[in-house]
Amino acid sequence: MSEYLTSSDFMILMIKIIVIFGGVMGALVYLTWIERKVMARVQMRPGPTRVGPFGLLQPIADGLKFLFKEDVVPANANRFLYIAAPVVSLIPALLSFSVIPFGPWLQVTDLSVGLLFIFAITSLGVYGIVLGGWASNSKYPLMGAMRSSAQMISYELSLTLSVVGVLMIANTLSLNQLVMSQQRTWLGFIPRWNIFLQPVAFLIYVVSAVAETNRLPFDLAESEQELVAGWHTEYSSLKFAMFMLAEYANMVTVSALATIMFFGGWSGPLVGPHWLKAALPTFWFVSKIFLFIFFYVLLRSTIPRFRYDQLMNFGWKVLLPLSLANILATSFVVAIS
Amino acid sequence: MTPVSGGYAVDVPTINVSERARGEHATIWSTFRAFAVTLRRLFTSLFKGDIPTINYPEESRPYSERFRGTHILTVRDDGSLKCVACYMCATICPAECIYIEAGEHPNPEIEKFPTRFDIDMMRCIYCGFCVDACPEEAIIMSREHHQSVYERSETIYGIEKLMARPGIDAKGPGYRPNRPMAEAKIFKKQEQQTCPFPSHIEERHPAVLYESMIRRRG
Repeated sequence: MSEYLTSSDFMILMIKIIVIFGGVMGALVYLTWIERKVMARVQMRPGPTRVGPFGLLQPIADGLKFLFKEDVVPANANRFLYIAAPVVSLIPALLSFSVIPFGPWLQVTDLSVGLLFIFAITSLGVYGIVLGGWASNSKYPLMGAMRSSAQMISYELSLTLSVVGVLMIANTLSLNQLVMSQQRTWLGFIPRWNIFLQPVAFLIYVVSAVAETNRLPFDLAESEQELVAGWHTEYSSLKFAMFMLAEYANMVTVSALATIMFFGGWSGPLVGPHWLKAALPTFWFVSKIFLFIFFYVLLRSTIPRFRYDQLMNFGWKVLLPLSLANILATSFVVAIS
Repeated sequence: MTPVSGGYAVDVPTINVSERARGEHATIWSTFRAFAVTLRRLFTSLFKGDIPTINYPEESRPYSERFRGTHILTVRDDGSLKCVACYMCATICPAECIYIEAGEHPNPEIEKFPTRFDIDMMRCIYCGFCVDACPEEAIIMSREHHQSVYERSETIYGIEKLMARPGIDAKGPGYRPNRPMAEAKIFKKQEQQTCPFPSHIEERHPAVLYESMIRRRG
């Protein structure tokens, strides 16, 4: 054991963990700034401008404010679950970053079942919401949590099924191998990305991913016009910040997965000197993720919220049959070729 | 479909709202159009600066030439008060917020000048009657409207604040209905170094001032 703790493998692992989680946490905090800025511009507002140039220090100011806010626990809340809920939703959200390859070498661990691991972990996130809603002992959080659990269970089906087609083509569950399988090009210039082979799966995945992360067209869990703030109505201070962080972490996770499965992950043109070739894959990966996140933000400012029955109809009557049909078609093609 | 009753033969289209709504449910096409709208807004506001926001404390809307803001007591060329303490403004004031104490002016042609001239800004309704009533154009209004203070007693403006508060003409004069008289000026430190009247305004405690005003109103 002590030999392992002093070995270079362990040191490299620790450095990877610090780099990845430090970077991810910083990026998560600044996602709120990006989201506020983009949404403001879409709505012809300047957005945050007061704290620092272009409001760049706004996330830090927000974080400090969260730190100094009073931490309220409702009188009749189930205290243990109430405190546990934000942790339960934040930890799975962050845990999934441990298998995501940010570059050929920048990955904490390359599980052979990485994709299954992420799906298993992220589906735990719904417990945070349900527990938070139930433990608050208040009507709006409870309603939000109920909606959210129904929604997440419904859309998780189509989310997972949409991935099956990709897995049939790639023949692997390891995320790094998934990226490797999309490395080459067709005709020398079209990248061999799965989106060209599985466009329907991609559409289903993106829609279900938005629903999974409780983002705006599907944010029935916290529809503020009806449910005040949904499942985190009673939460304040750092607990609320943890919920927010978990939401943004989930956003990054689904974007990263979409990039890995459909857009070739960290693959991209490598040019320049040696050090640039080492850094470029991470750059490609991060910029692809940012494109997705930009799309999510734009989606939030474009499309109004679904009604509950529309949500359920869409999930069960459109997305689920579509993903099943996609699996059938893909398996047929794979079996023939 | 053409209502002709009542002498109005106007072809008014009848819109069945529920029918229209039935044809307007979200489609993929409408979603793309919505994205076109938001993207267009994003780019116009990002690159063309098409944002109607006014960053308030730094920028503000242009106010009217006749804006009735905080009062200004005008001065003569030598920097003394234009006011002759005729009590016209205090008499017409519907809010009874002006308090004047007159003193004798050494120049017999001028006769009187105010030793005290207080306006209770919390009581003032900014009607501008005092400006209308003034025969000397000694009181005009400015375009200022910031009146935030830390204490209630600070809202009573004495001669010094009314005549020469810092940045008094930063926004320019406001309501000034009479033909501007040549000798009625806004006090400027650089131009009017000497200010013989009032030579010295007694530094009273604001709370005392406030008490006296309350006593006066009964």
